[in-house]
Amino acid sequence: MKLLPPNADELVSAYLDGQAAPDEVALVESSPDLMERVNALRSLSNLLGGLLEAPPEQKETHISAALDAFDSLFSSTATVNQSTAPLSAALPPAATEASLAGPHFAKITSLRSAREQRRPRRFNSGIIAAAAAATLLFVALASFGLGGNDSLETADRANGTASSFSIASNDTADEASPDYAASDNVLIDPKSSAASTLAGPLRPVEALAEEAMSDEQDPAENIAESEKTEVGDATTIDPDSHELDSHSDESLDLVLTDSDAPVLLNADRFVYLGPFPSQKSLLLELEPLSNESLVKRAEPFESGLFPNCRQHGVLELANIETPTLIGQALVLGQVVEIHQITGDDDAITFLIVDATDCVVLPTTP
Amino acid sequence: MSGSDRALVAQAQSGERAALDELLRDHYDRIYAICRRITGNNADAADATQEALMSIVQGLSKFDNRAAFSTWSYRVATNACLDELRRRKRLPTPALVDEHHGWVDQNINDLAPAFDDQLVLRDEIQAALEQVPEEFRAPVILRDCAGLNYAEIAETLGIPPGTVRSRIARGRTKLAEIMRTGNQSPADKRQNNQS
Repeated sequence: MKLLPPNADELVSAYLDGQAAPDEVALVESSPDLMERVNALRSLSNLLGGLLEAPPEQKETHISAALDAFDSLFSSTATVNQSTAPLSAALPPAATEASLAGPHFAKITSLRSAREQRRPRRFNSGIIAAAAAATLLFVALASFGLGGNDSLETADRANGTASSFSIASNDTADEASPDYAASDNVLIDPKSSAASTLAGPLRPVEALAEEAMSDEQDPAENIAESEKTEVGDATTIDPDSHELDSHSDESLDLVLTDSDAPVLLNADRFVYLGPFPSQKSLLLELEPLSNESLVKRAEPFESGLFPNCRQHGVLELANIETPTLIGQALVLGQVVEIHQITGDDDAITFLIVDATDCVVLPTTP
Repeated sequence: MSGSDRALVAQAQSGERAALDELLRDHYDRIYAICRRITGNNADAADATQEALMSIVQGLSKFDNRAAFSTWSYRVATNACLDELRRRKRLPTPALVDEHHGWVDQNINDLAPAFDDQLVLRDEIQAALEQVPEEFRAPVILRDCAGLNYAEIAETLGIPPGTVRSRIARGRTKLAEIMRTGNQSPADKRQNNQS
């Protein structure tokens, strides 16, 4: 038997795929042994390439669900505030004219409902009711019993607790442990200006979707008027702005320019961390991971799949000069961004930001 | 990107439901096949396929035609599959392939299937595939199942084309090795069953 080149496997594989260089092709074709391997690999490749067909009813169900999501996407355009710009304004310059001229694409929420069609519903209405009751109690205490900074803090606690309840209500009952539900370790300094934005009533993740599509005041409008168009909510992007185009090729994740104007994140470098059934599960996934391992597991995501917030437009992050965004994820079908803050003691804190209105969601790490 | 796909994408982006319907039908089988190969079972493949379709719908407005729709959709599907595996903690953890292990001496053509053996063989190759480390498995699947070229696979997985080439080669080698040593041939199985 003739001695084969050390990279014979790679040569043969590349030859099979038509990806070998001319000299490699000549080498393979001149060797009966290598050609025998090519034929062997071809058999394997053909076996592997055989289609594994889905059951027809499954195909119909899946496509039907996707089309339903598409329908809801377009039907939602009727409720989009006419003063806001379409998300298509944030498209990269290479976007087609048709897509730019298309209707508003708003966030869709049918991913979760599609899941629920396939899986047993796990909502516990009792837990939801308890969460609502607890929220009302905390809000009432905050409104009538306390004042000043204490009031803010209590409202924050209520918000954080409510959030944990809402998370628990979407998980299995055994996850809704009292310890977890009672946790109120809100990441935001209650004395900061952000508290005024966050110390509102319960805003479960599901509600954010409705808020984003309603004409009511967006939470982001609590931000100073001068910053209004700088909020990363794609529906508030100035339609006449060419900022995205002018920066779309830059490799920076985020920079603050001399003029203090925010530069949009480069979507090419986003990391998509996948869908999660709850904030809790997302945080559980994140917390054991070091920054290095997060980077390692990062999978470059197709550009522009999701709208994104600008760091400058997130109150809690606006004064941080280094980029904080580490990725995006879906929580209950809601697009969120994960920002990472490293404290002076090197402690890492994750902030989950609603990608619709760029407001930090109260979290219970 | 095929002209047909490009036109359908443009129509779907402008709100034509029928165009999206056609687009999804055209690519569904391939997306499902990718998911089935990567996840290794029907249930996870179904979930991942559904997630992929939803992500495609959600991201369609921002799909910018820089890549073919097929490439993009397979990439979305691949991500959905990997997410599904992570979520369900079903990632196989086989030993890594040796850098320079030898070629499988037995010709895989020895396994040339009779028709009635094909279903068994298909199961076996799937079982073998699940033992191939994910980093090698995904490129092989994208090549042999999705029909992507090396550049497209590189783009999909975010790795250099040269790495794609070596990973596909190593993945196939590993797969062939498993098929040879780890799985009995259908004929052997029949013989064992009879005895």
